[in-house]
Amino acid sequence: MLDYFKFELICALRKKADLLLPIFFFLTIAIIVPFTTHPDSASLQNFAVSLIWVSLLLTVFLSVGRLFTDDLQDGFADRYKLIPIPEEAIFLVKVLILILTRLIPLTFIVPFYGLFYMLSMTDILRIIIMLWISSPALMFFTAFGALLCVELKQSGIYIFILILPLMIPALIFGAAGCDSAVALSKAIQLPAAFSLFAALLCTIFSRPLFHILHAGR
Amino acid sequence: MQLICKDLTIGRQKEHILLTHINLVLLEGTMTLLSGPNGIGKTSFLRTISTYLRPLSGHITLDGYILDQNSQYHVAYLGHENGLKHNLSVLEYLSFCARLFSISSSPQTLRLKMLMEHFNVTPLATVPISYLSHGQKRRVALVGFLLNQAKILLLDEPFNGLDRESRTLLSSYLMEIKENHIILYTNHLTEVRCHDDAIDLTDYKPC
Repeated sequence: MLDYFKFELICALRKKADLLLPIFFFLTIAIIVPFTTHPDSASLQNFAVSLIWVSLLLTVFLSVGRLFTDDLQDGFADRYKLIPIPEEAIFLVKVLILILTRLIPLTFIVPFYGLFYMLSMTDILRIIIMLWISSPALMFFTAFGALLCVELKQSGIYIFILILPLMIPALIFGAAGCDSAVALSKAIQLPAAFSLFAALLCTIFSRPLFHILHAGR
Repeated sequence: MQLICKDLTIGRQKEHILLTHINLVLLEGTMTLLSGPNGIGKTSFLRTISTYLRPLSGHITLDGYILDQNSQYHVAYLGHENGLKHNLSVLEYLSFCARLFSISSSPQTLRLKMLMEHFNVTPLATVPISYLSHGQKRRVALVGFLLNQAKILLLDEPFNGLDRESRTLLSSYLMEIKENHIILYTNHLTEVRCHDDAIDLTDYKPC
């Protein structure tokens, strides 16, 4: 499993455009939105957290949609069976790589949001912690959707429609946890539990979807 | 080791049956050519044996045990696509294949070296896969594929894109390893003849 993890990590790190596109997208939203609204600090601060979560959601959809399509198109999906690990482990490794290479870099952009939306350092740190804890659920659900819709043309739209309702709790828990009135130790409990639930649910039920992926060709 | 197809029916749906009443016994140490015109169902047949597709009826057994989608490591399938990762170099990709497809804990370094030599891939070791020609990519894909440890090898048009020399190298390698394997392949190039047996799939076309 470690070898497969290294393999996927190196392949992911070599795709420079795929790494940079979500970062630019996430950053662009941070830069552009203040130009379209009233520039007083109170109104900017009011919707900064919502904006970060919505931007993150869109960025996740942008970067996860092709997770299995590349393997299907270049034929590597036919090699999955030769790797002596269960297909659930393949799914888990792919999502962990996504979290490492796509999600973690995005959290480093959050200080820019702090700059544009006049957030305090404490707020920024709290948002970053909540992103780390709550957004893996978004990754797992979107990856599950990507595997489910891998054979469909315009799969991005179907993933969005199918998976969006599952994302809502993660967004609610994540955004609510950014409220500094609630103790951090208490605020992380629900999103952490939901991320764990998403990871278990999606990983366990990924195996039948791999069968669909192979059978559809 | 013997692979038995018993009353196998293959197709996408019940209304679209490609092949029916396939009863075959494939024995270890044989190399079998699957023939038939385009669209007859050669790829579907190989993908069914590789357990990627479910048969509409009948079953496939390996030494008495039914092969299903949970049977891993017994069957290896090489399709039309090469399964290469274009952002890796040839050696990086093949080293990963050696480690990924290895069931034992030690990577198959010696086997990798031997296969790279055999298929004349060693001079390409440091070249990024995206720089290779179509035929070179196919050779790298074959080396990566043949590093697996499955006993049943299913090759869908493996000679496609290869020059005469590479075709000879592949057929000689398959002849060399066939003693411990069941090899089933499709091929439309008439000059390549390395099979012991041939199956014409038109015999199994539904009336």
